[in-house]
Amino acid sequence: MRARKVMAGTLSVILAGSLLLTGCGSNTTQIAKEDIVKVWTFPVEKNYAKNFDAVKADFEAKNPNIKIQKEELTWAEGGKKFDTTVNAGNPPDIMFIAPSAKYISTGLEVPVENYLDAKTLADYYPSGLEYMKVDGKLYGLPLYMKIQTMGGNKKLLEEAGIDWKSIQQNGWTWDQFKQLVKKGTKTNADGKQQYGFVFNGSGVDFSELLDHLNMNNGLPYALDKNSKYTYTNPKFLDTLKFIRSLITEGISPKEANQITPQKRMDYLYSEQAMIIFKAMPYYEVVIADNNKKVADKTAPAGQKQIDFVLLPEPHADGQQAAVLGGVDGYTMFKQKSYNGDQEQHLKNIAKVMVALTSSKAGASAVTLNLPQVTKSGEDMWKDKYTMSPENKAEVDRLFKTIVPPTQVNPDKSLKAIKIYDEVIKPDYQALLGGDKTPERMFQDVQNKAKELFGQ
Amino acid sequence: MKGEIKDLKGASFYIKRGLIYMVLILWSLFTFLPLYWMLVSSFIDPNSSASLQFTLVPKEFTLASYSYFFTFNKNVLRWLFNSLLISGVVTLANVFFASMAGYAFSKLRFPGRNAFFWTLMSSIMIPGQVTLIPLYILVVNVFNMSDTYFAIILPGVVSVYNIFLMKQYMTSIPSTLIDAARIDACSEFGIFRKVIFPMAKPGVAVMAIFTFVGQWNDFFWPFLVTKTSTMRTIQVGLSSFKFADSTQFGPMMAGAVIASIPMFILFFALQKYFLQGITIGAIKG
Repeated sequence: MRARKVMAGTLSVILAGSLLLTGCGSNTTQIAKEDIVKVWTFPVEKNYAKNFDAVKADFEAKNPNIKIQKEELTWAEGGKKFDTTVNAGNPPDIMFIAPSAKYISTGLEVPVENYLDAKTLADYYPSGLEYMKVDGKLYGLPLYMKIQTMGGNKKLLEEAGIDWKSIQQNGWTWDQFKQLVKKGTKTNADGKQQYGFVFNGSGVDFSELLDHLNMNNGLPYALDKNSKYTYTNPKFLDTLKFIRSLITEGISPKEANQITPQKRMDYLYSEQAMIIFKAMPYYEVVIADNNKKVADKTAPAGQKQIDFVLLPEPHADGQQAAVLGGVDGYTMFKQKSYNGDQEQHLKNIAKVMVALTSSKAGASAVTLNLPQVTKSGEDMWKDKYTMSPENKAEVDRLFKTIVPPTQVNPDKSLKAIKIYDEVIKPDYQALLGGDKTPERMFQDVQNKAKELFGQ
Repeated sequence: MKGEIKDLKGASFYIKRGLIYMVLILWSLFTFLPLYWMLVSSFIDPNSSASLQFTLVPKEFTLASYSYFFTFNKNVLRWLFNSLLISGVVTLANVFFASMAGYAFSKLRFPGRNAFFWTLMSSIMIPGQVTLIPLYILVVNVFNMSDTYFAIILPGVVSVYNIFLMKQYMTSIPSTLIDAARIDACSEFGIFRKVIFPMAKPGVAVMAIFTFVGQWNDFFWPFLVTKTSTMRTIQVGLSSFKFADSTQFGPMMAGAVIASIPMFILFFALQKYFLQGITIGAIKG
């Protein structure tokens, strides 16, 4: 009798659960005349959700037949989710990502210029659009121009006797960098170790330093303009040796391969780092916010107010100083089996992309202290920037040395991505941890390049 | 006599015992440390948890991280409810279907039984990464279930591993009991319900705990098939405390502590059966 009751109870719960599910599932019914454009984005800056919603509200008021369905991803896992949907043939219509040969090869990344008129495109500065092209075709629209460089604590730089103003104006070589930055490595008065240079070798984009220093060593990209693989050049080995020497000479922490971007900022805030990599103009905003917390005593114990200066990256002897820059923006996709008028849908997607990247959307560039990508954005926001004069001057200088994008063969680009993901990334972590020598890592890259490129 | 036994044990006995206890204590500490660290981190200030200093001895005690966790997003309670509902339904469905399938494979004779069983078994060998995309296509593209409870629950309604577990457990139940029930004109479902299921409780408890914990901790599938904040589970919700350049560590740990409470309750509620279930094979001689 009891068993019957238990069984009946179990079945009732399953049944009730099923009924509940039917009721609680989100409504997927679409109104026939409404075209829903799915946008996947990230928390781009601290006000982005608000900025996005304002643009969305404006757009939907002007285009009542198009609805924007936003999904905000996390930086840590969003890329993986997006890759799965691309492999399943069902990506969102618009994704906050740079165009890539990897996605073009699926046939789902769509050239946006086929759906935009010349007048609309003329609003965008050509230099920004160039970064959203692959093999000469435009696949997306930029939201803001960006640069990535280094930055330092003005007080610690001056304590170490480093003329940071001269470095901002004249740049520095790898040897000069090491010589000067060594002065910033010492034990602080409170007994804590201070490092001259702290970079993240863990977390999101952990291998960025390698890319940046390669760029400053005459290897701007893995593929040159003739689509020839460049990382088999001995200069690549020199870059690896330079990075490893920063750790062995005590300029950077031994645990560099465990330092996440957040931990790197903790080093800066607690005056345990004189110079950090990477840094962006937006850090002035982020650090100013933290300074307020220090003043209000809501910041963690031991953190101090930081006067932050942007610095150029050092370059190898005999090489041109180079800055990794470009744009961040939205790229257009289609689905393998779309039910409905796909051409009209693609036109609507293009319209949404324009709204998400021009005029009002330029608010994000202001928050990030970065230049506008459209003339309409420039007109709307030019008086709203509040950057320190010395950092503003440095940003202007750095933008002059940005390495232009190269248009390469998509198939070869895929192979270069494969080498990066399968060899360079894991080997680089091992190099930072001291488990692999620069020579051994270089050999691994050469072997893989030989296998894929025959060179 | 008593003294002789004591002498027989000698020093080596106590050294061996001491070593065993030392290993067990170290192992316990090793297992307990992450839980302890999670708990300690949840009671420190949400701001200071981001600092470099890493301590096992708390210097402060505040519930601010818990408060931050509950106010961070208006859907925090919904995430907990979703996890509870999804894990509960998946566990009940597995108890129901896997135990019936286990009974069929262990006690019923029907054509193709072994072939069918081994076909199911071979599917265990296919890694999840391989089946992820086809499953996504089926659930999202074909059935159009994106962002629903069905999308999260259906793939887990019955697992082959659980069928195997129940089949193995039920094989150890004497078939003579089933024969006796048949002589008494009990139906096949009646035999399962009145004879087999009550005797399989320890095995079912083990399966229920494993299934509940597995489903509760699942991250990527619920993350993949949901898109609105209201449909997220607690594990997916917790990942939103992680940003590109920072992590709200204290609130994240507070969330992890809260998220682990249902598992503790389930384990202690079923502890009696659970221990029987995992030791029954070991003491059977």
